[in-house]
Amino acid sequence: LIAATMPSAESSHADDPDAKLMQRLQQGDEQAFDEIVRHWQQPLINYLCRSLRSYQHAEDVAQMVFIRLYKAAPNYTPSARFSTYLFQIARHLLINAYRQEQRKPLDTVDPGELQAITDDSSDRRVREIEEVFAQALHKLPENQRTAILLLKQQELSYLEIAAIMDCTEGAVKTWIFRARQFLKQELKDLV
Amino acid sequence: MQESPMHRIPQPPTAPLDVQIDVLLAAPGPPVRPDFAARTRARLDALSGQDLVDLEIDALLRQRVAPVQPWFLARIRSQLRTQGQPADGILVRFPALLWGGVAAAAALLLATAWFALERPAPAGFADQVAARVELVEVHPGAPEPPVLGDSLAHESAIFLEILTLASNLRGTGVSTIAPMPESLAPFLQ
Repeated sequence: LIAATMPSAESSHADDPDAKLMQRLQQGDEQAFDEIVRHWQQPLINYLCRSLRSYQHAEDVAQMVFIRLYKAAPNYTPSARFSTYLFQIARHLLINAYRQEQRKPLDTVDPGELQAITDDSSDRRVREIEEVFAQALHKLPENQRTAILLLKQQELSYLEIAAIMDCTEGAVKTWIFRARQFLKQELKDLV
Repeated sequence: MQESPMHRIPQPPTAPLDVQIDVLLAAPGPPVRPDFAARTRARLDALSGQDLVDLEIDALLRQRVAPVQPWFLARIRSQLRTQGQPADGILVRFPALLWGGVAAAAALLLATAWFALERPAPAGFADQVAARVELVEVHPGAPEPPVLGDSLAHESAIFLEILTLASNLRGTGVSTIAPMPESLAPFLQ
């Protein structure tokens, strides 16, 4: 159904290895789903971790992304790159997760993660920069954060990001410019 | 123990700020646990039939109305679980801003469902659903129309449509478009 909303370019993406896996899944090859999960779990969790600042939460959302993907398989057509399709699902779930997070009285940082951070004191300065960066990233509006992460972390094109975020390439560039300006402002005294 | 992403990426100490930011953005997250794929599969296998319908509804609505407020779907699910097939017990109120999307969702879902069933959509049918959606619009802060107030029938009619369509698309559950409740007739042209 996501694919149904995208520009028709089926032939140009049919050779995408992940699209082929989805087609195998459509034909009932359950192993194809496991291959998709193994291939995309790390990029997806990287993206979600940066966005949610909690490994546990990121993992939970990532599982739901894959489950959604599984459910969407019967309607899948390779009308865009698979990564566009996947991250569009991820972004929808992420927005929902933000809303749920806003209702919680306390932050959802996993205590295990805090322990991991405090245990390793080999480079406090790097930790400090990293923490300030993570906080600054979290302060960004969702569209700016998503756009810059998809560009720099996932190495997607402006066109792909625009498709994921259902906006123009111009809007994506503006968001990324603003995000970068904000991050530079937040980090200028540390780096 | 999780490793700091920055510890895995060498950074020039005097690199320009833009470069430093790019490095931080590209830094990998914590390694995925080895059993992640197996747990994802187990979670998928553990989903009940109702969960799968919920997922389908979520997916359909998010495509057309996205992003959807969590309460929007939670309430429908709750009613579904307690009442089974929705009859006339669903009460959902929408912010006006959401409404255009809902109308579009109903129309698109309808067209999609008919397409999926390989039947021609009756002329004007999608418009009719959209008209029903508009009928129960509730503007934030505005006094509720007394007829619509807490009456459940009108809102449920719309979601009966959507849920029916969602079921159709999955090939399970209801296989026909639900008839319009007679109680709505006086409000339609």
